Amino acid sequence: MNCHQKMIQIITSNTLESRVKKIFRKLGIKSFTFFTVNGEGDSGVQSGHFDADSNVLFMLMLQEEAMPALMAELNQDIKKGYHHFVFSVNAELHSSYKCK
Amino acid sequence: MGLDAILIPAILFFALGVFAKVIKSDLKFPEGLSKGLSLYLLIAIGLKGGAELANAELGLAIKSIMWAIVLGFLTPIIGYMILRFRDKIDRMNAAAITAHYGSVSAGTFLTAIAFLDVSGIEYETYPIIMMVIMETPAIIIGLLLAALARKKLQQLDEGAEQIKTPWKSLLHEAITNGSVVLLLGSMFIGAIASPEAMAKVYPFSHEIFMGVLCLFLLDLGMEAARRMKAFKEVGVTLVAFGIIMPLIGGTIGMVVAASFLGFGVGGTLLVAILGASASYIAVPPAMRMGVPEANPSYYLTLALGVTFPFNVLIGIPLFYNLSIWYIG
Repeated sequence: MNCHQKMIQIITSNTLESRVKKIFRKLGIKSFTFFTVNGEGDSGVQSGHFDADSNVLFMLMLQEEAMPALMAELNQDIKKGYHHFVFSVNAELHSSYKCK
Repeated sequence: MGLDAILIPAILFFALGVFAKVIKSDLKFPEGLSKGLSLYLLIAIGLKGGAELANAELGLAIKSIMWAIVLGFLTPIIGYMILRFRDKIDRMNAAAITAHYGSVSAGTFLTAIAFLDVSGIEYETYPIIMMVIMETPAIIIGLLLAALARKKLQQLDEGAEQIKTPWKSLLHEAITNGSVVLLLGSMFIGAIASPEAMAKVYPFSHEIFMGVLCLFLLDLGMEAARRMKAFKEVGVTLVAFGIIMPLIGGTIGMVVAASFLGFGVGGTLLVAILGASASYIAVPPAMRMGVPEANPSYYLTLALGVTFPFNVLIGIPLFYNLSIWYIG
């Protein structure tokens, strides 16, 4: 059985990894994947050389109704100046056990 | 001492790294190698320093620690006043940038040690423990300056977002920072291990040290050149600050080492370099977390793209000559 959910991606500084995980815990989000990524943007070159210039990319699937709560939390951080780059796409989930 | 002062393999490899980026070479280090190299260098310098500190004078060691704390607090305050002069740089960026200058760059310090070793100049080992101590006060001052600036901004704009500084977690991170733990741990091991046992690790802690430092500086040369591309973004004022501040911090360090700690030329150069260098490992994560309003591109470009190359190519020979002149 397939289902539709939102696939959310959050790119943030390596140093903010625990901050994002804390938000997930607060909202009861237990499943996510994250990995180290490099790039360039508002915060300059993120070459991955040091902790402060490494980024992480979080990927998670969420039901649409759970999105506003997550965005509210992340937006609070963004207003404070933390650089979380968040985007989402509609995705078809094929792992049926995750559709529950 | 002229150009030959910088003609040592470690500095030349740094220049090679910069050159490789300038000519757009595809030279690249495998991912994670530079982190591995810096771990090795911290262990080697810790073992070396620990073994020698075991025979050090306790009184002078305590005095060195006290002066390291003073330097760590004083340098960022001076830097902040310079950056805030005539409102040149906003409060939050000024706080975050100056915190980097109160802390130290292990890479610059190791290059200064390589310079002294190659030149056959003896040096005191107390600056190694000063390097460990100086990581934390600057972070505290940076966060304090940012908290004061935030309060001021909130008074000016009542609708501004309230940010609470996560002091507990930031201080925990500053004190338990990986490089601090590794360096202190290696020093402790070096101090308590028997001389016979230490002799077994001599090839690891001494003989390959210079070679690994060459690799490390080659990589940092490429990284520094990459950061130099952002000069336009950070502006002339900040680039000038990245050169002026090491001259001020280095001079203060030199006076402290020579006049208050009674170090020789080698030890004085090392303390001057501690005062002149800017952190690019321990402080940036603390500022990203504690001062999110500041632009990370500014402080990373300054620490790595301006001050680090300046110190490696000019600061070390300059402060060496100044130390000889000052001590007389």
